[in-house]
Amino acid sequence: MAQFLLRNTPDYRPTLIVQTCNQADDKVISAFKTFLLRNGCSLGLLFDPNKCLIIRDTFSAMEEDSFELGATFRTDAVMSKTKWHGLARSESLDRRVELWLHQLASKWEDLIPDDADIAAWFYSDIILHAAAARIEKRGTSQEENAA
Amino acid sequence: MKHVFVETNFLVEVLRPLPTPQKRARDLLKRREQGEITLYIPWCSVTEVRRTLIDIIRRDLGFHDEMQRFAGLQMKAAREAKREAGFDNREIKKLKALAENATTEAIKSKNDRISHLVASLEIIQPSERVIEKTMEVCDIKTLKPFDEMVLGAVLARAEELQQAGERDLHFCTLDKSDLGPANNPNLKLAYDQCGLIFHADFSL
Repeated sequence: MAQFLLRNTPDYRPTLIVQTCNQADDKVISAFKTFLLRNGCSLGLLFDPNKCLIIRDTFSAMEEDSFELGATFRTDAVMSKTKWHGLARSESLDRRVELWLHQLASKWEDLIPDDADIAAWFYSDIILHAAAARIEKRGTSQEENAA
Repeated sequence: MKHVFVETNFLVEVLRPLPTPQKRARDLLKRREQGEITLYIPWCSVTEVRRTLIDIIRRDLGFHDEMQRFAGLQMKAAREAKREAGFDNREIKKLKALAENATTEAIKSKNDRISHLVASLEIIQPSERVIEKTMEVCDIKTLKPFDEMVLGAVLARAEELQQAGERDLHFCTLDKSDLGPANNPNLKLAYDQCGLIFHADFSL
C-alpha cells in the first residue's frame, strides 16, 4: 500500500495526503488520522478497492479527534474520469491512484466526476489542495507510522 | 485610440479573487469596454493564465486552514489556562464558510471567466513574424523563454501598428525587472524603435 504526499508551496507540510489500503477499517482510519495530524495536513483521502474516504480536520482540537469523516464514495466513482492510457482497470490500486493523482495535479478540469456530490468535494476541497502539486510517493503506512 | 499591450499579470489581476487596487487592472478593462483603448495580449499569456490561476486562487483564498489551526491553538491555550471566557470560534467558522464558498465559485467559474475576458482582447497569435521577433529577443536581453515569447509577440505587433501609422502605443506590465527598459539600453531602444511606451502598472 502506498502513500502520496502532495505539496504546493515551499512549505514542507503537505496540503493533501492520499493513502491506499486493502480495507479502510476503523484501525486503518485511526492510523491515517494520526498520520495526517503528525504531518500538519488538514485533508486526506483514504482509498481501498471499493471506497474512498475523505477525512478532514475540523480544527476542533489539536489531536486525532479533530479529524472527521467528511464523506465516503465509491473508489471507481471518484476516479471515473481518469484516462487510463492502456493501464488495465485490474492494475493495482496503488498504480491507479498514482495515475489519477498525477492527472488531477496537472489537468484537474478533466477529472471532475459527473456525480454532483463528489464534484462538490472536488470544487470545495480537493482541487485547491491537489492542483499543480508536487507528488511524493512513500512506502506503506505501517512503515511510516512505525518510523 | 490608444493601443495597450498587456500580458499574463494583467489577466491574473483581473481574474484573481482579491485584486490589488493600486494596480488598477480592472480600470483598464473598463476603458476598453468604453471603447477608449484596444487591449492586446500575447497568445502564450492566455495559456499561462489557464495553468497559473488556480495557484493564485489558492494564495488569495486558501488561508482558512492556517486561520483555523491558529484558532485551535488559542482554544487549547484558553482551556489549559482554564480561562472562563474561553475562545469564541464562531466568527472564525463563519469566515471559513465564506472562504470555502468563494473558493468553490472561483474554481468552478475559472475557465468561463478566462474565456470571457480573453474574448474582449485582441490575441497576438504566434505568426511567422512573431516567431521571428521572438528569436531576435536574445540579442536584446537575456530572458526566460516565456518572457522571450511575450516580448517577441508585443514587439512584433507594435511594429505592425507603427507601420500602419498608429502612434499611441503602450505596454503595461507588472514585470518591470524582466521587461522594464530602465536598466537596459537595448530594451529601451527596442521599445523606442516601435514607439512603445513602457508602464510598470495599469494606470495609464
